[in-house]
Amino acid sequence: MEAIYTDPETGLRLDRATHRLIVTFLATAFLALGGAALAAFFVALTRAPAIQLLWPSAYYMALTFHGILALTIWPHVFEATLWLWACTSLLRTRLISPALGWLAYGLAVFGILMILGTVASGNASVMYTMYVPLRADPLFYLGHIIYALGLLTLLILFGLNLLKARADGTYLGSLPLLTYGMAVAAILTVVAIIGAVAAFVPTVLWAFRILISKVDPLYFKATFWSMGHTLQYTNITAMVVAWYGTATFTLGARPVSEKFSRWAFALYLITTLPVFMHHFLVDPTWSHAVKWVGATVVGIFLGIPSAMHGLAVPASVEKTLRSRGVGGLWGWFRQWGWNQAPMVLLAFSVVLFGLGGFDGTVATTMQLNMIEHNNMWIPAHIHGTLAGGATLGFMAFSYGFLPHLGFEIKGRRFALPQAWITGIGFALLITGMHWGAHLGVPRRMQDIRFLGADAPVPDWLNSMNLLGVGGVLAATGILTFVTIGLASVLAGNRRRPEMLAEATDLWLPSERPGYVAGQVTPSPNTV
Amino acid sequence: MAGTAFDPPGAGWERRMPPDKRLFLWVLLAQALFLIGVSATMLASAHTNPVKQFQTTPEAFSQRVAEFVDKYQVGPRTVRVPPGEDAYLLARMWSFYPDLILKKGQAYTIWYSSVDVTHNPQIAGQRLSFQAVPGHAQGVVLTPTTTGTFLLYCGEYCGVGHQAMMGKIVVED
Ligand code: HEM
Ligand SMILES: [Cu+2]
Repeated sequence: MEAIYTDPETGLRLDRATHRLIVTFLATAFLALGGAALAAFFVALTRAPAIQLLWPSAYYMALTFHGILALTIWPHVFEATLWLWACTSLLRTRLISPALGWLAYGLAVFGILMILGTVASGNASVMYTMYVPLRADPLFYLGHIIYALGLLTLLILFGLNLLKARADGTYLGSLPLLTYGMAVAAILTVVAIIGAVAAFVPTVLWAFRILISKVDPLYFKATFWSMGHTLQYTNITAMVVAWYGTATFTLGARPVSEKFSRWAFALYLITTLPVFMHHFLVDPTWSHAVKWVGATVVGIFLGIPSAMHGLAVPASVEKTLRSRGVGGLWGWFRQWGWNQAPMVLLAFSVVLFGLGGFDGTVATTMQLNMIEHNNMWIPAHIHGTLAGGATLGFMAFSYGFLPHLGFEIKGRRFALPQAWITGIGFALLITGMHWGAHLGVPRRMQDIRFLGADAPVPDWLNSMNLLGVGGVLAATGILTFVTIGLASVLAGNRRRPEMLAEATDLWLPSERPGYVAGQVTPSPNTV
Repeated sequence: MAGTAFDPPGAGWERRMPPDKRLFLWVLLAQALFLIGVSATMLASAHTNPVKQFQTTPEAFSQRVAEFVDKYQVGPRTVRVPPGEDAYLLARMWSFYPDLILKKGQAYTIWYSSVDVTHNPQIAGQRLSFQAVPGHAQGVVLTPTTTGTFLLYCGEYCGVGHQAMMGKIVVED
């Protein structure tokens, strides 16, 4: 006998053991995002020359915190919830071993605490990229390895669960689209972890001064990015999963073409692998020809799957709205749901991600990289794709996912302002970054007045003041979201479990698995 | 919620995509090929600063820089580079050495490397940026087209003195 929750909106079921694990990962992810946003306040207020809040050592520590919490930790911990949910509830089955899930969680959190602790001690202000031979506390590198082991454990659990569901026949035919997407994300992550081993094993020995006295900077950078940029495709794939999920939660939308969407997911597997090469366009390695093929050509093809999803998701919203009688060429756009937090966030996510993707394609073009390398163009690209795109997408999804798990959204009336403030804040932040990039403002720089320079310093301060304004708005929006999310989780699950025992008791009441039956009455889930 | 992304796809999902989706794929493919064509043309027509490279060590590169400075030095840390000669720029925590004086309209190769961590000399207002990596020397070919004094600063985070890492290039007529 086991306690099972049923979501009345979707009919999907979840056993209590998996539920607990999902909620724990989710709350941890929210905490990481909150930490990133807190650090972001200090980062933005320092980069705005009108304030220039922090002194150099404090600034570089704050930025290391920001990058690590926002990029290394938050998205992957959030994805852990998606993996767990996609391999259980969506496949109408239980976790093969919740204990393995808790082991994954324990390892990940242990690693995270090691990383954050060493940064807080002041001995690891090396940014999330930690380019060798910059030297941090050895425990900093070890923390990364333990964190990665945690994620790997979770992926093993995910894989085993897919096999188990297939063997048990809890679903027939193909995987649900979202599970398919998360399976692609899982494969990308495993490939990334191979790069992680190549990067971190020598580096941790070098850091502890065991056996290895030198790690070549270009070797480290290549292996680091073969991990790091592949992981960005994990984030993008999960973001797209969150997009489809948001449209389903709020509108009951259906994919316009399963085949089109699956092709788009699968294409990520091919186009992603050599993508790390674009980090070397201006490094002393390889010839122009090799760089051009590995970075520019591949990079341009990479845009294709994202553009496919960027069409398919709004199209599914449009189609759903039309089927409910919304007419006219642009009626669907007017009726998009501008008064619903998840739909507002979804719209910002799609648009900002598109912008960030454009920035990426520009930066991966050989000639343009020589111009944009290491200036504010790169943070503009990151905040388009990972912050504006993935993070806003995950937030939109959470507004549907929390009620789906049985939590009431607390502070509901703050949700809509939160969505708009965050979206507009990031749009302004990114505008400031582009403007700064246009003037050549370098990234990761505490002082752009260059105190003591004996040559003229460009007149570029205003761009970064605009960044400060957008940054404060965006960080306020994110902290509001984190407060809403954590308050909702802490208020407790309102749903009562039923005691069920059969292997098939997680099937939806109305369906034979794999067989699409009946008509749904979509119930808009307004937040 | 049958038929949504939460469910296994309905029978027949693997059939041919609808024509509008296929058209969209062709459009995407065409724009990708177009962009690749533009970039390739620029590369072939030498619109790209050529770069060269060789393996070195921090000691060997420092030695070369010292010889270069000895030969053409005109001030305490300033070197006037004769047209046709290669220039050398040493990056270290936290400065670029030496300051260079170049002549407008002449093509120069400037060799970058670092003796400690990775740095990234950037020329203010010109937005030209190449990496200086320890153990690897990189030669960037450029022709100054504007006279004036240009600040060099570092674009790769290199420790707590990163914002104080500067150098200078002067372009004369
Ligand atoms: C909450 C509002 C946010 C603000 C105000 C903000 C602001 C900034 C700024 C100003 C920089 C550039 C710092 C520099 O180069 O000196 C930066 C870097 C960065 N941000 Fe954010 N950001 C925010 C949210 C996010 C989010 C949500 C993510 C990703 C999920 C993110 C990921 C990053 C990354 C990866 C970097 C690069 C760090 C580095 O260069 O080491 N940020 N952020
Ligand atoms: Cu530097």
